[in-house]
Amino acid sequence: MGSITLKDVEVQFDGKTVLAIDDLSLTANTIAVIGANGSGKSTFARLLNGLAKPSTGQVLVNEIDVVTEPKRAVSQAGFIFSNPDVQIVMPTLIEDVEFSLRSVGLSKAEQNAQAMAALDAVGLKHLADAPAQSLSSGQKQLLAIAAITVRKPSLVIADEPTALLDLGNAKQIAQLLLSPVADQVVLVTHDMKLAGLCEVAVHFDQGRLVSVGAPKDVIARYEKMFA
Amino acid sequence: MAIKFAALVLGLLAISIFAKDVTSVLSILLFAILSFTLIGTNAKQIFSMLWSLKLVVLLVLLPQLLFMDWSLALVNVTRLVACILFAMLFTSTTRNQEILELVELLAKPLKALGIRPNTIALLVAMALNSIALLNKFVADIREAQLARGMKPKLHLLVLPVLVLSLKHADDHAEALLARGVEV
Ligand SMILES: Nc1ncnc2c1ncn2[C@@H]1O[C@H](COP(=O)(O)OP(=O)(O)O)[C@@H](O)[C@H]1O
Ligand SMILES: [Mg+2]
Repeated sequence: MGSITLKDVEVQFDGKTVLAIDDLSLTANTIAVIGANGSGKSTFARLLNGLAKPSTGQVLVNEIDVVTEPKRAVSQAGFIFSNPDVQIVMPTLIEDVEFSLRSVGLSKAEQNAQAMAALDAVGLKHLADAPAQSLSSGQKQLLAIAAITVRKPSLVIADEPTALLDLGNAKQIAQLLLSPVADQVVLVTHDMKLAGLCEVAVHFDQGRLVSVGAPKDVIARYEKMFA
Repeated sequence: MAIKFAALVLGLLAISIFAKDVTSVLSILLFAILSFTLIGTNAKQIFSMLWSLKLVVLLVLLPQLLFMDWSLALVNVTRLVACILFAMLFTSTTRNQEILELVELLAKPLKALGIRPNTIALLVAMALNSIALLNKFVADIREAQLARGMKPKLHLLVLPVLVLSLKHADDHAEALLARGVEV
């Protein structure tokens, strides 16, 4: 079971506080993060693997302090971005997934076998040797998931992973992520249906934590703001 | 793989040193093309591959035609094309991962200068990858310009492609960090 704990956290850009969280503890398997544009969702997501650094306070993921142990923080977490194009490193699918295993200390054959299995799990095995850039956006996002899950991270963070996808692809990606693909999945989304499928929802507004709890309640309150 | 690479290097060296007349460079070119058919490349693919070299050929050929005898210029260019074809043959029959390992091996001496071999290998991988991406950027921008009733022209592509590339570089850098790449 995973755990995310934030204490007295503040994130500032150019002297401006963009996110402030006094006390937040999350142990649910699937966590939705919702809120308006610019409310601090991405900043929160990026705190969890150390891509963003708190100006003050402490961020613990599975008891690991992401500031003092950045390497472990990155390696225990997988991150999926909205833009499928930016996540691909290697020219072909299989190589891109194998790339994730480069420093794990496995034999070539073992790397290949695990990468193949990860591609198989997202339904892309038949394209293993195809050029990664020739994939559709939905397929690229599936590849990104394979490249991340092959490392078996305990936390997967997805920042609006379906924002650029059509309905069918979005649904497939969401189902896969919430299956769940890791002990803990943090899903930033504007899709309230998707948020409703998570165990817990977190709502940010203007860098502040507005509410945490059952998605039904959190979403209802969020939607009321625009009524 | 290392043997194949050594063969490539020796072969290219030999071509540059010994192939000096029209018949020998032409037969080498023919040999290169034949090698491609051996690995299952069809005529159309070979033609488009040769066609993709047109800029390089022009760039090399024009100055030589000015300063040299035309037959000598032709030999030089044919030799260059043959060399490029052999290099392409090498890359298309070798997995990128293997190329990267070779790059990493060759870059080992740079360690003394404080440059990490795997950083170099990663740069090469990303360069291989960006070619496909650049094509996509160009296609996207052309489409956007066409949609707005503009005639896509080469010089009107430069700035948007640059902007897209820089934006991509930023996002890509972040994604690399998230995948545990240390630069
Ligand atoms: N690298 C940055 N530099 C300056 N300001 C930033 C940076 N990243 C985010 N911000 C600001 O922080 C605020 C929250 O942004 P973000 O977390 O991306 O919101 P969301 O993902 O909810 O749209 C915004 O006002 C944004 O402008
Ligand atoms: Mg965001």
